[in-house]
Amino acid sequence: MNQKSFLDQLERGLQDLPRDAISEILSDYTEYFHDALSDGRSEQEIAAALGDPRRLARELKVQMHYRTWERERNVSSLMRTIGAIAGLGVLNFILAVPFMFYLCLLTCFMAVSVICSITGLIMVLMWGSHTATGWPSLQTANLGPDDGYVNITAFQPDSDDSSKTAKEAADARRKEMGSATSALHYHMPDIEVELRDGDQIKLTSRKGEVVALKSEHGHLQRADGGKLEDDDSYSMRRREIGKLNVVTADGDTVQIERDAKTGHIDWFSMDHAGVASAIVVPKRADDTVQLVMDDDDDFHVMTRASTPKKVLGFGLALLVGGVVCFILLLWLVRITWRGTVSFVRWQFGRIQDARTA
Amino acid sequence: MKIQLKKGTLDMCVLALLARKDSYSYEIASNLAQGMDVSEGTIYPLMRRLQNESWVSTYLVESSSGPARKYYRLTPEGQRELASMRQEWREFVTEVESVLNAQTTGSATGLDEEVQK
Repeated sequence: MNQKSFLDQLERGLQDLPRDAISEILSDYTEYFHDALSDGRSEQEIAAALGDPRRLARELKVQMHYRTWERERNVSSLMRTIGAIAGLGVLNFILAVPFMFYLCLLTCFMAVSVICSITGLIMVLMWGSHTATGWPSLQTANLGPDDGYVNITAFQPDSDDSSKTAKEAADARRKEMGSATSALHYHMPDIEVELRDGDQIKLTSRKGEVVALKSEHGHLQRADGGKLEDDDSYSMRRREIGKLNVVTADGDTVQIERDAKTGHIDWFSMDHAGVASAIVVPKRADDTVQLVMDDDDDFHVMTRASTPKKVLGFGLALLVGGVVCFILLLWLVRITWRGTVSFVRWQFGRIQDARTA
Repeated sequence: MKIQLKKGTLDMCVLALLARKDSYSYEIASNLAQGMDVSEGTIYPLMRRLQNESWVSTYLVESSSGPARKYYRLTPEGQRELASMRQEWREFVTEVESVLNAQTTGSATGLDEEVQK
């Protein structure tokens, strides 16, 4: 190999380094050749003494990338260093596959913990704002388009409870659910209203027609005593309803009304503190009446306030869990980074050793 | 054994050469090759490494007969490094020699005891 092909191969090997670094290295070797030639040696002899220019280039590249990495510790310079070391064939690349997988996993968990923290924080802030100003309403569940029916049925006591009267069974059920009144369930897209004995419902259509119903001995009938065509149920299209009133035997009143501005019925927006479209009038002043979702994702009218606390509890749990996970992951990242740094240093040291040997 | 020893001491030798006078890579390579069994190819990457460690600095000297020559000079940091390397080297040599000598005396004493028995 003569000087020209040595320098050509060296240049090709150095390609991805900055232009000025390449020209500096090339001029240093040109100088070396010049000095050695003046010493009476042949180009071939010098080239052989200097070693394989491609390997030399790879080694100089590792050195340059490593130096950049030492100066500016970031992921891209680390990747270049690892790539350069891998080019020398020292680094076992099979090792890198699980490592990359681990890095991906770490990143995913990091993102999840950040999302959890932010969601938790938002929930806690929402709860704070709700407690202070009543906004936003935490019970709102938007039911979407105004189709489907409102189906009114009378509560049927369990058949094996035949010894009890319907009233007793209803009371027992009421006790179970706190002091729940007749229940409103939402079964997409229908609203099921189940009237307890003694409870009454008044449906006002948008045209102003009124239908008043009551439940007596497990049967649905008109409040004025008139018979229904089907004495077990009554249905009305949701879009026809203007107003819905439930008056329980205890005297609790639930009123759900179509919003004059939006034209929607906010079925389960039960923020009695401010929103006028759906009003729950508690019997006692310290009662908070809400629609609460139960385990089966049904809404029940209950006279127990728990959702805001649930929001707070859930939000706090998310926030604390998210932050704790994030700190743990940060600690893991630190360890991983340190491990990677020492691993790359060790590999770099091995290259230096191999070279001197 | 010799490789391991050489690895640690090559840096020190180059720094020691430069402590005497500023020099350029071919001169350094030839001087080292005279006294040690060193491959010429290792010198340039080594010089760049010493530069990275800021132990040596470079300056160019124009030449009438060819390309400009890059001279290497020991920096104050390099001088301190060389001093501590020399110190370590002396301590190492002393330790090794004391062990080697002790072994000789040790086995000699052992032999004496054998004889006495």
